[in-house]
Amino acid sequence: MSRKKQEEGNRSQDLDRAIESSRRDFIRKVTLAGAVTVTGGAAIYSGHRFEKAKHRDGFVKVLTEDNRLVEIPVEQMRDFKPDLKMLQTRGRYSIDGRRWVMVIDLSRCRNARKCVEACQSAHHLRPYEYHINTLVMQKSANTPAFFMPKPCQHCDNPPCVSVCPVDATFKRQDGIVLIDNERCIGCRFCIAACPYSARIFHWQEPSHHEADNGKEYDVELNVPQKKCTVTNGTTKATVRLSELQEKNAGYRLMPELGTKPRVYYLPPKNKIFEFEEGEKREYKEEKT
Amino acid sequence: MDDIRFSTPGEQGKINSLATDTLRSVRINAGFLLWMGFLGTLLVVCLAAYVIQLRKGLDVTGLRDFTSWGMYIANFVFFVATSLCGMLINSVLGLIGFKWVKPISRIAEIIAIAFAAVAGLVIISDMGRPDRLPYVFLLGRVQSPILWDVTVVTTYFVLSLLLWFFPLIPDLAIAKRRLEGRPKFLVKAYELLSFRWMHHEVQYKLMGQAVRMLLILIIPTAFAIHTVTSWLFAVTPRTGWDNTIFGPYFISGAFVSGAAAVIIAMYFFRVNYRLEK
Repeated sequence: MSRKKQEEGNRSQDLDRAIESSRRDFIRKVTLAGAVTVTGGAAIYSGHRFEKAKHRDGFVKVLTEDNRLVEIPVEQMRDFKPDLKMLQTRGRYSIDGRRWVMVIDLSRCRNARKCVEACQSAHHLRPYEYHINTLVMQKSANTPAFFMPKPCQHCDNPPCVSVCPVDATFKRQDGIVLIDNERCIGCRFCIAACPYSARIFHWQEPSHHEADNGKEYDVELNVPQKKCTVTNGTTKATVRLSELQEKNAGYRLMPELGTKPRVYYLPPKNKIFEFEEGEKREYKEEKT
Repeated sequence: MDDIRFSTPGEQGKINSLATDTLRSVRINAGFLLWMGFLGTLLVVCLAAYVIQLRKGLDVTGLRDFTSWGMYIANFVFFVATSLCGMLINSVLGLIGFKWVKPISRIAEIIAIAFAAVAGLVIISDMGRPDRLPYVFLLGRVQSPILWDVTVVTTYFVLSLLLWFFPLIPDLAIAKRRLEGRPKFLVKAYELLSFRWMHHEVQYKLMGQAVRMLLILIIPTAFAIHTVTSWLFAVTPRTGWDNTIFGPYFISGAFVSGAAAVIIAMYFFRVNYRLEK
């Protein structure tokens, strides 16, 4: 009996506790909502104030190198045009904590030559000057042919860098091989040394040279390029997971030469596009 | 040709008869003028072509083509190879003790100097940006075979120059007393370049030591100049080029072309100076 009473008492206690907890929950929620509203309002208000402050007479807010927001007077602002020396120095610094590689999926290449054209337009090249070239490859007479874009391989042991007499081409910590056109003496030794034939030489004035006249040379973009210097100019490598190449039996081009290239090819298995003979396949917008 | 060992004071008579033969000027006849005129015209044409190349870029050379891409470099290799004759005739055959190389040693040395100098010029004309030549010295990287080549060609050039000039000093001293009726600046130049040579025994002893040292020094330098030239090709990971045979191959080729250059030059001297007798 006493146990029954006790049980009843327990139950009523439980009920009380349940009501209590739901009330607390409610209060918590209301408080939270209130807090959110207040914070949001404050944020909106401060944003509004910031917007107002931005237009405060004669002052501009800027972010410093160490991520602090400071206000400086307008008259101290100047248009910044990086000079050649700064661009040359900046081009040699790598991006911290990054090691770039490029993965090219050969099953998706349809010889549209979009990459070739984009590269040529970015680096001010003539149509016959290739930084990236699309080659027709065939492993043996019985296997189907496929297209292979061949950019600079950004080797970890680059022959072009080791033969350069003036350090005009260099390997950055983040894995990229660049050229300083303003330092190149045009000996073309790197062209001879590169087993991938990835380099070309500006035998004449580069295209756009009249439009580019007076523009400061940017090492990272490799524009505007200079007459009688060597160029490879790949600056923006695509990032992919390197396990991709393990799953797909990815390979590199001529690794037996010890150049340790950083461009990985995924073999053209299950090709999306049929191989078509010819200079260039017309590119149609379609979902792949 | 005069030789230092014959020019001791006791053998003046022999020197006199030799000197009349060898101190003659080059015979200037119609054929000579024609040939020099032809070469001079060629030089002017080449200089004009080089100016065009400087202004318009290397495109005008036509080196873009897969067939003609290596014309300048092939020229460079030829000139470097032929310059080996200085070392071959003077050092190797001279130190072994062949007496017959003495008359032709100076011709060989002049060919070596000229060809080493022209090899340097050919490299500059092959450069896309010769205006940036100082960068090679200011920003040079020792990893690059080009820097090895610049170093070794310069060293070989200087050694050859010294090896040519040291034994020339006594001969200049002999010759400066036989310059009657020549222009004044020539007399002055002989005076200056003979460094008041007295034909003293101590002088000859020092000279002999210096020349012997140079003769020994120039052998490894000459081997280096050809192996390094071959490495310009052999260090690249290109198929067919990364080959260990290139060093010995370039040296053996240099022996052949160097000897050939000396033979051609000797023929000219024999004919022009009438030394067949």
